[in-house]
Amino acid sequence: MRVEYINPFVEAAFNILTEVLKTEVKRGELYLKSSSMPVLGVTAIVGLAGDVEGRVLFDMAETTALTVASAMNGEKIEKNDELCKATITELANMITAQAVTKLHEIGFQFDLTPPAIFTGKNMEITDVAIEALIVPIETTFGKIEINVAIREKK
Amino acid sequence: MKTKMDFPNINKRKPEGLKENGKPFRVLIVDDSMFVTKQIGQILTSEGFDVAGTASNGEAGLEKYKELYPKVDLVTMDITMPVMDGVTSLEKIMEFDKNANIIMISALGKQDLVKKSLLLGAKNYIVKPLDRKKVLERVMMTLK
Amino acid sequence: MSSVDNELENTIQEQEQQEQQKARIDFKMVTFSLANRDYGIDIMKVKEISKARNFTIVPNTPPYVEGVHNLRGEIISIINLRKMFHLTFNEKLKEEDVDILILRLEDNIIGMIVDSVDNVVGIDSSTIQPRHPLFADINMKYINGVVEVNKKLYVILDVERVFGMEEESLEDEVIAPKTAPPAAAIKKKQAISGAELEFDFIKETLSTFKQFHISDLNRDWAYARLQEWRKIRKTQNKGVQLENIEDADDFLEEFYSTYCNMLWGDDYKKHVDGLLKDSGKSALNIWSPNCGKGYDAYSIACILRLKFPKQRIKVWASDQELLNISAAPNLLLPLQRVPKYFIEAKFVQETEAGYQFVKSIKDIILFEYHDILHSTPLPELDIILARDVLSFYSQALQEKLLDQFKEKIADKGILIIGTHERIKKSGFTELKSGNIIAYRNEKD
Repeated sequence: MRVEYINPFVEAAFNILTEVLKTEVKRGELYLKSSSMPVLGVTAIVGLAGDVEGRVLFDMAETTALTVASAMNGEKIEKNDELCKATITELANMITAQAVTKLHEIGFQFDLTPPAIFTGKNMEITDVAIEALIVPIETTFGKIEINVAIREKK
Repeated sequence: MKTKMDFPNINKRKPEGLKENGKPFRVLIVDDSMFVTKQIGQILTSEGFDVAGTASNGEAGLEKYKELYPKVDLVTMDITMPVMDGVTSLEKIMEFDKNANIIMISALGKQDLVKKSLLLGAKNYIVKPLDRKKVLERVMMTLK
Repeated sequence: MSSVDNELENTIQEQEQQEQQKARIDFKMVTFSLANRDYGIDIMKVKEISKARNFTIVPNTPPYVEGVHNLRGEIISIINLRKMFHLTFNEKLKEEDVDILILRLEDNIIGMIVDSVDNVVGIDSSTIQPRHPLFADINMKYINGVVEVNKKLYVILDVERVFGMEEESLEDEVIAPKTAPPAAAIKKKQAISGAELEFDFIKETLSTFKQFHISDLNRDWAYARLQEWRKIRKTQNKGVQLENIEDADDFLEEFYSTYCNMLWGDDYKKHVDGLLKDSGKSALNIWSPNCGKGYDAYSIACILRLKFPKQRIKVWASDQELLNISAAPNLLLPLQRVPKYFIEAKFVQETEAGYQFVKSIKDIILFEYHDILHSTPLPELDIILARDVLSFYSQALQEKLLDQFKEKIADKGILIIGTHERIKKSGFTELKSGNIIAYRNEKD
């Protein structure tokens, strides 16, 4: 993945999560992955278009999703219902949007496509021939993995 | 003879959501996210506003505005929505009512779409993540 | 090849005659300490040595499984050896880095937490004593034997047994008789010549400590270097073998290419110029895999821009070390590190902090954080710059990557490799231009 794309995503994730969750947020070591990735339980996806094609995944365990949604809504959410899903989707959207804004500021035209959210056990995401950057984020609510795969358009 | 004690009104602040005549400002929330709709609704309701209606896309928003008119004081409009996006909806509402008070809600700051919205007649914009202070500030700025 | 062997064999024999000790080293172990005891593990089983902390806990695993660790994208189990041997353990694992030995067992890779990793020790396998009841506090079946080296007693651990890779047999519970031999694998080595063994050990140590793998690509250099090394070590009164990472670094010092981690000087530029022929193409595509901070990429971009001012040039440069590649797009150079031709052509400009490349050069290069073992979609390439790249992959991967390179380069395109690397594969014609090691791709 192009070097210039990395920091905007890392910073946006850190900034938004810190602001929205109001808890300690720590970034783990970044790494690259190529094969299909087992999913932790709840995954939000935001598509990327413009100068590039790709997507951003926000992956977390269901318990983490519930805790995050509870914190964002200011009330206890015990089931992964419509509100919970809408909340996690919105979180994914905000992080991706801030990253895209930062990229815009340094001259890269990215667009977002509307987010989607998947839940289930033992899911796998397979991309055909696209490498992904993994940004693991540790919060007191659990781990959130941000998985960015971007391909330059020729 | 007991006189009724007259305690002074310590909390002099009046809820922002009430007009001079004591009636609440009526707000239409247009957003495709249940979470954002709830969030804006809670912030405004706690300050005395009345959420007169909600819509989850630009087209439904336009319809709702026409339905509520003239008893609608403010619209919060999300930019990215399916069916009809916020900028188009803004344009059409402004066509219908050139005095409409519309605030754009966006996750993308400093973007061309926000600029375009302001040129088309949006009165203000708020960048997500939303918090109480931000929302109330911009809303009050718009309503004055 | 066999004449080199004979030469080495003779040299070693001479030295041995001069030495007082008759012991021969035919077993190497990586040593570590655990609860005030010293252990050794067959170096062939050790993949690498690492430090880490904060392992991800996995529920429903035995208590000695500390968790899992992400080793460059691969998830491996981490075993706490103290817990496994029922010793007291350090609760503070989350806050400090611990020493881990990464082991290669059958098809599994496992990390083992030890108190501290020491050095590599070579021994004569005939000096290994069988298991002794003195060590009855550790399960006897885990021990291959014990050996004394330089007044230190090492317990040789059978890691395959420890991690349950072998079938357990009841007989092993009984203390073996004094004549019990060490593992059969060690015996096999005695049939190989002393020279080959010595070279084999250097090979293993280099791959363990520096991930440098000897193969057809660099064997000639490695043999020659070993000769040189032997002489140097003799004058220092040290043994030939590489005992630790510093030794490995010293040995490899002579491998790195001219202008490694530097912009190419005028002399190198001249030779590169000599290699490049105007292909008449409107665009030139270059790949610089594992480019580090980008010196090779910047050098080729500027040289090409000078030679072909009208052509469109595009360089893809990548590395999997995040810190290095992140620095590449805005690489800062002190004045004395910039060869004249860059300055004269105005490819660099002076800033407060040093020299930086101008936009027109920066625009030529796309720097990416990328692992070349993952697929790399690229158009047909005219040049691949892979200096000192292939040698740091295992032999199998070296071949795979070379195949990938061959597929990606255009017919008559050029592959430039390290000063001490050579390609012995068909389909590549060696090109001569000064001290550059380059090959032309011949597609049939």
